[in-house]
Amino acid sequence: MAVLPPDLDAANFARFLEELRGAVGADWVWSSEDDLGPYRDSFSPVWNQAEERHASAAVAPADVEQVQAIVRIAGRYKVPLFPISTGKNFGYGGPSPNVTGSVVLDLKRMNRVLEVDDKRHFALVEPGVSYFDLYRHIKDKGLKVMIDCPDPGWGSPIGNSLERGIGYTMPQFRDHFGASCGMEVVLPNGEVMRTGMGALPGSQSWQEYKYGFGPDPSGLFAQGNFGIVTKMGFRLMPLPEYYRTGLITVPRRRDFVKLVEHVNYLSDSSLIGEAVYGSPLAALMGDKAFYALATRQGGPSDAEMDAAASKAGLPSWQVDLQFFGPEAATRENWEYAKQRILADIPGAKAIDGDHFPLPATEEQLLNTTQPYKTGIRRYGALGVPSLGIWRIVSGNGHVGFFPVLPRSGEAVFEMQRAMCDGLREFPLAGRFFNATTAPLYWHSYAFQMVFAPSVKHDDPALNAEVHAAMKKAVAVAAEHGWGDYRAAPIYQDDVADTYSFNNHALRRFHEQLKDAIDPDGIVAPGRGGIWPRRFRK
Amino acid sequence: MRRIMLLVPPLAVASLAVAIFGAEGVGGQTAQAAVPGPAAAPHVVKADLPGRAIFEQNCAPCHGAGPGDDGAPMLPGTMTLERRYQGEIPGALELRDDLDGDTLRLFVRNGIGAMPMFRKSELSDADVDAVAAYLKATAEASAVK
Repeated sequence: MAVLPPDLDAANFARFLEELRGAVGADWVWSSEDDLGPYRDSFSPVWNQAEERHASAAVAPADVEQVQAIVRIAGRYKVPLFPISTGKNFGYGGPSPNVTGSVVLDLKRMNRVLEVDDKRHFALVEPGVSYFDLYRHIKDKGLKVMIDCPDPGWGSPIGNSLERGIGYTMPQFRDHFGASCGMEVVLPNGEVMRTGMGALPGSQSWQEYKYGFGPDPSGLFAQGNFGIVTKMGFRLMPLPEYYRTGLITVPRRRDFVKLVEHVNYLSDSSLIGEAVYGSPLAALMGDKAFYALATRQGGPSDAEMDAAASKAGLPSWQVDLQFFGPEAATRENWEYAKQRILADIPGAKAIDGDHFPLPATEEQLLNTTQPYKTGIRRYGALGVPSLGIWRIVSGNGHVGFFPVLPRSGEAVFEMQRAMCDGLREFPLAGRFFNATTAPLYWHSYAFQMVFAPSVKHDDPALNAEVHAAMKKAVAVAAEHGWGDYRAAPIYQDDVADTYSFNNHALRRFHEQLKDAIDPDGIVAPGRGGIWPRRFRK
Repeated sequence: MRRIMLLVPPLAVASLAVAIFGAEGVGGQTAQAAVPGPAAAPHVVKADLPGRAIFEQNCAPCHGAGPGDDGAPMLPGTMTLERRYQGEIPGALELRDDLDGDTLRLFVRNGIGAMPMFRKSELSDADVDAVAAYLKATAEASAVK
């Protein structure tokens, strides 16, 4: 065994492992270096470096009772546990823990779809259920609901939502934690708690009314370390009758301000699904002169960008719109969107896109018949899990920094400029932050941008540059009031540090809670930047 | 001695990635190197073995023989292998008869390139052996050597 848990000697670790074997069976406890290899973060920029976090063992329970038993054993030995669902949190740490020596609590075997109701539109699942599993269950049973899934379908609804992951359909479903309703949690003392209506014995509305009565602590378990979620409910969209797409382009750089305002209106009125922004001018980034313009210190002027667009014969911005619902409603909503935007932005154009009844055919899913070049990834847009997105993963993967910014064109321009200038010492950054960078409309009420440089296991110099750039990106963004939404364990302290209003009042509150609930740090110490007293320096 | 080929080779691309998601460009299509291989998906005769379901649920989303998403000619793992082998041997694993359980396990447990490692909790050693048996039988049934 390569590492030991904090403050535990080898003899006691051996006794601890023996107790785990007694709880779950010898086949489901692993501590050899070979078996622990897959619990490393394969996307790590600190691969084989001192900063890399390693597990001392892994244990895979079959049910809630075994989770409770493991937590109680860990409590006796003061061994930190690091729960994972399907362990596919790539770009944000994968299955690796915050604290070296932690035991990974691998919940993959708890993989039951407990309920899917296509009349009341919800699902209740265990942590080991993947989006593939849930989709297959719905298809096999012919249920009339649609899931909202992230790009790679091997992740789990529970793990993804607890990371505040996102999808690509309607606003009320894209925010996966926001679309959750009711959870079961094993607390650090081994007790089982249910939130919302789940706390009321005999209630039949656990997945329909998330609050119950009194404070709702469910938010503490997202990006937190206050318990181990063993069941969770999710709202599902009734399978829409029809799907329609359309593209709007606008000619000038400054037109983006109005375009965003219109799309905000459409989205907040629940008329559209995810709007996918892009700049056709990104196609010019291979040209040296244009690249220099788009990444120039202080940013280019509108006139310069407009001249480049005019010369290339390209619009400055575009947005892919998507409509779900009855056929007539999608048609009318698209007509309304066109009229509203084209009447207000001179030179704006609209192109009708693919439209068809749902569920989509295999051919429609392949997305090869759009009459224009679309930014929509259709599998995700229609809630069909896939791994097709892996085609853009290079090297040994990447890390991800996704700063949150306001939904305004001005804010987009400001982030383009400030992040490009602030990361100028890292040549790789210009590809992510430049005057053509479009915002992501993943979360329902905010924009994000992306910084996701690739890493390679056998190139420590590259990884070190990426690592330094990631830390600098967190700092530069915070100087402008932008914060990351999600981070790998090696960056969680950096990110948590930036949420510092009133002398870190939020972190101090979390620490007070952690000290009260889990002073020895049995559940994921350090996750979310929250450290219990035992581990605070 | 039978030659063992890598399942997923390191990608021969620039060390610093073109951005994921954001820099894909307005078309949403990442520029890809030319991919040799059949214009249409190869004909695969799937063997009726227990490994089929395991393969389809765990491997096929990347290594299946069908087309990729959003106009990509192949799925990511298949495309990567197709690029590497340049037609010398198939990129689709279901057309490979040279992958025994130990070989598969080497890559499943250690990962390679963009492919991460798989844990025993999600894919047991017995599962990997079942996939190997399925691949061999499928490749033979599909008459590709």
